[in-house]
Amino acid sequence: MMSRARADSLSGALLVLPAIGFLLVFFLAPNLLLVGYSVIARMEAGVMQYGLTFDNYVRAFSVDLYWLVLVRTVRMGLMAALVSAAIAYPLAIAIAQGGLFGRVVTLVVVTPLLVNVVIRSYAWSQLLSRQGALNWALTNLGIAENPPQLLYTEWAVLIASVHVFLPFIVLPLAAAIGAIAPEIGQAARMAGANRVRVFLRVILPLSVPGLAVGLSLVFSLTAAAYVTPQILGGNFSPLIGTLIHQQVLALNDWPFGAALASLLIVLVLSINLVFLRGAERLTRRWTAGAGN
Amino acid sequence: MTIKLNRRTFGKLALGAGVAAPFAFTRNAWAQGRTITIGIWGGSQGEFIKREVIPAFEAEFGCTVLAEEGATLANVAKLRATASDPRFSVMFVDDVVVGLCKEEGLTEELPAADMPALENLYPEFLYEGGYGTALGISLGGVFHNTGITPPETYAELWDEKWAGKIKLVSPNNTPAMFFLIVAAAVKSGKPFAEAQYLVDDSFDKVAELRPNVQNVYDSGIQASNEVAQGQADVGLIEYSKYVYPYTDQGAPVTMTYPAEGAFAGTNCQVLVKNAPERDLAVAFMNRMLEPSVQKPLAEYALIAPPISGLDLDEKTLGYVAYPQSEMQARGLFTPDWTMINAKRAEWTERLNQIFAA
Amino acid sequence: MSNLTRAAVLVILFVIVAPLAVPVMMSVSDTPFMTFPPQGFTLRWYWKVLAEPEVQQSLWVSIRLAAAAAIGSLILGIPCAIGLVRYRVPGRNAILGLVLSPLIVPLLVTGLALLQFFSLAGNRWTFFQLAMGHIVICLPYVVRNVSNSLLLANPDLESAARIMGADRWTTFRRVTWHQIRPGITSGAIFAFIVSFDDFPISMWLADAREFPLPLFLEVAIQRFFDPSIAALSTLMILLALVMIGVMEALLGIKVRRFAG
Repeated sequence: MMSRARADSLSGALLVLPAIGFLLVFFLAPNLLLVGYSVIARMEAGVMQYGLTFDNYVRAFSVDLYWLVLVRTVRMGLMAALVSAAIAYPLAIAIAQGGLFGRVVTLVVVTPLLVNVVIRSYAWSQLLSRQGALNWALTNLGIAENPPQLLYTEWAVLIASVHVFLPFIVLPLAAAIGAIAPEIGQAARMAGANRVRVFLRVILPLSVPGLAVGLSLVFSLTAAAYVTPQILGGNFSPLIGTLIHQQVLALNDWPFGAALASLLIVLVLSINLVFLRGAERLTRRWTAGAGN
Repeated sequence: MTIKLNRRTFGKLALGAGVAAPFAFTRNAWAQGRTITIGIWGGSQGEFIKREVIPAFEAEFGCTVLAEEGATLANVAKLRATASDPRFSVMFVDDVVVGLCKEEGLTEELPAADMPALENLYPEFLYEGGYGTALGISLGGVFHNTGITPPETYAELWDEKWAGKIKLVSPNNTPAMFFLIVAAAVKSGKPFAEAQYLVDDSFDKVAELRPNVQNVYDSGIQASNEVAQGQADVGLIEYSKYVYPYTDQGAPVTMTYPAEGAFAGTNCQVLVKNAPERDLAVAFMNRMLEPSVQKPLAEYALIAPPISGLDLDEKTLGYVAYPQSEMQARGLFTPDWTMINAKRAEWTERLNQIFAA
Repeated sequence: MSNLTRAAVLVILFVIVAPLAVPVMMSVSDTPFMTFPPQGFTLRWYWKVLAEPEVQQSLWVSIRLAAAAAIGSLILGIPCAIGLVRYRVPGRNAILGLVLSPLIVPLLVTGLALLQFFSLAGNRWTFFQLAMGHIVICLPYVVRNVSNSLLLANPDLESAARIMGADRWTTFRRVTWHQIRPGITSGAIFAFIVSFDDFPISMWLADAREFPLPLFLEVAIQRFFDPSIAALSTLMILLALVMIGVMEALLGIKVRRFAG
């Protein structure tokens, strides 16, 4: 038996080895190299200086521009995650209930995922501009006269980010809600709870794991986006991705670009950790509470 | 175009006997099968170069020319990034950085002996003692929707009636430097030539324009398209080459040059130091200055040629300042680029702090 | 579901679809610049954009790249999934974490890291760089899809084949292969689409010769004055609809697994 198990794990290791080796070379090593670069080099008057340094990070946190962009990136990610969550619940409930309607909802929610992000952002820019489709409709329906333009504001970036990343929260939520046994809801209804109470007391707590996955996905994707803020933000509200791009490709300051990129990695990983751990703790407390 | 046969191509012609027809008529066999990469701009100018100039050049030399689009600063960044192992052979940049590229050792002097077309170049368009030539001159000014009354002076644009109606050029693009000079001129009341040295103290004036600015744009073409659609009334400051081709096609957008003055927007070409296929690169740069390219390029992209003796059509003359006497009569202003290059990173950060923070 | 919820769902679905209709409408405007509502009707922008050599070149680059990414990630991903699901691999969770982590680390950062890595390594083969970058981001989809079908399949069949005296290779060919074929098909399709749509990796690694379609689209938005960009967008949206139809109806692949 022993030798069989050893042979088994040996062939298993041989099977996974190519993929691991590939990822070590073309994913892990480059990313570690990038993070390392941010602390061993800096640009001084256009010339690269090598040696251990934290100047890049000091600059990122002391010049108000970079600091403000970091804050904006976090804010945009959080807002997109929360707005998506609010929109996602009715959709996820519809999907979880299945049937033809659920199937249609699934398809409509997922369709935009197959349309390139550049096209989707562009479509929003045509919809939100001053002479765009939205204002045209508002004016012609007599709802507003001379409505302001949403394009090139943070609102435009937020709206498009929610649209683009919505499926990433709807689907995990639908999976979580679908896993709730329908009898639980029925039992609560029979016990006299109204719909709102059923939602707040049953669906919401039990869907927390799906919600946490969805929130962290939408946050991460929004915070790391380049295309959407670029096309819809009008350079007024760049997120950190735009700055990384500018530092490297326009200003040629690789070490500072690497520092901003490292900050983005830290930001995304820590938010993921917070959301997922928080959800775990919340679920544990609620299930413990239910036991009393 | 006459086809001269040298001995090698003639031999090939005789041997290949028509089988190698496309190659047989190559008069520049030395370039056969070789490839150069050049950095160019977008817009009508880039389009004409990609569609007309490059295919003709490739056919004639039997070579491949890869054209990569980018703005001046991005193109310089590419040169710096590949300086030790150059990938580009020829780079198109605005006049602003020709001196900078020379100083940083990114470019080399043009071999005048191998570039017969330099003969027709107006002397003022050969830069830095031979480190670059102009390719075309457009006018720097304000573009606007034809349905509005354009501003007569730059100072007017600070008026609140323009609130949210102005598109402003991004600091990544050269004309943003024109804008800073305008702000300094409006604040001080001095002409551009003096105002350009007062930019450091004029950022409060720049910040005052903020409420009037709808967005900061990267692409002059996209911005003039949006102005044509009526999404904003005016855009500043842009090269006329990004606007006039669309004016000419009937889009409701055109240029105006407020009373304070107009800028010379000069697009140039430089030869990359240790360029791959240097001789081919030089041949391409020479081609760019030949009348057979310059005349149709000027008439297509509506930019003024930097060479003398061309007979441009009436329509084009309505859009460009040509010949040289006409450029001088209009008093087109060219800033002190050496001073500006030293300040550019700092000014960019200050602009970003006003508009992007 | 209450009528209120149903109404809310319908409104949301409308808002999801509506933006995609705007370029479709603008693409037929018979004006030399873009405008809403469209004026007149013409299909000439479609012909113009299809005849554009740069569109054709970028499309060809994207197709080659997506094919390379799909094949590469299958070659690496299929054995990896089998190893992880069917064998006792030491450090299984860590390996799974590594394989899935390209989905968590921002793509934009991975792209930049690869650019730096390749330039330090002195590699100048752009297509190779793009393909490696795309395999990194496609691999998780292949591993996940193949693992799913392995988990759904009955491992007893494999054991039975082995007991009957079949060697490992025969067992794989006769049993495992058939069990994981649906996973391989859907993994390959997901990989192709992920690569075909990628912007944040390509944006760092592409050059003039290898310029994938999504990058061209972004440049075209800034460059095309007339409605031909709207026409191109419409074509891309139609392509997406066709793909969804094919995947759901013919192949029975659940499109939603993309995001799950």
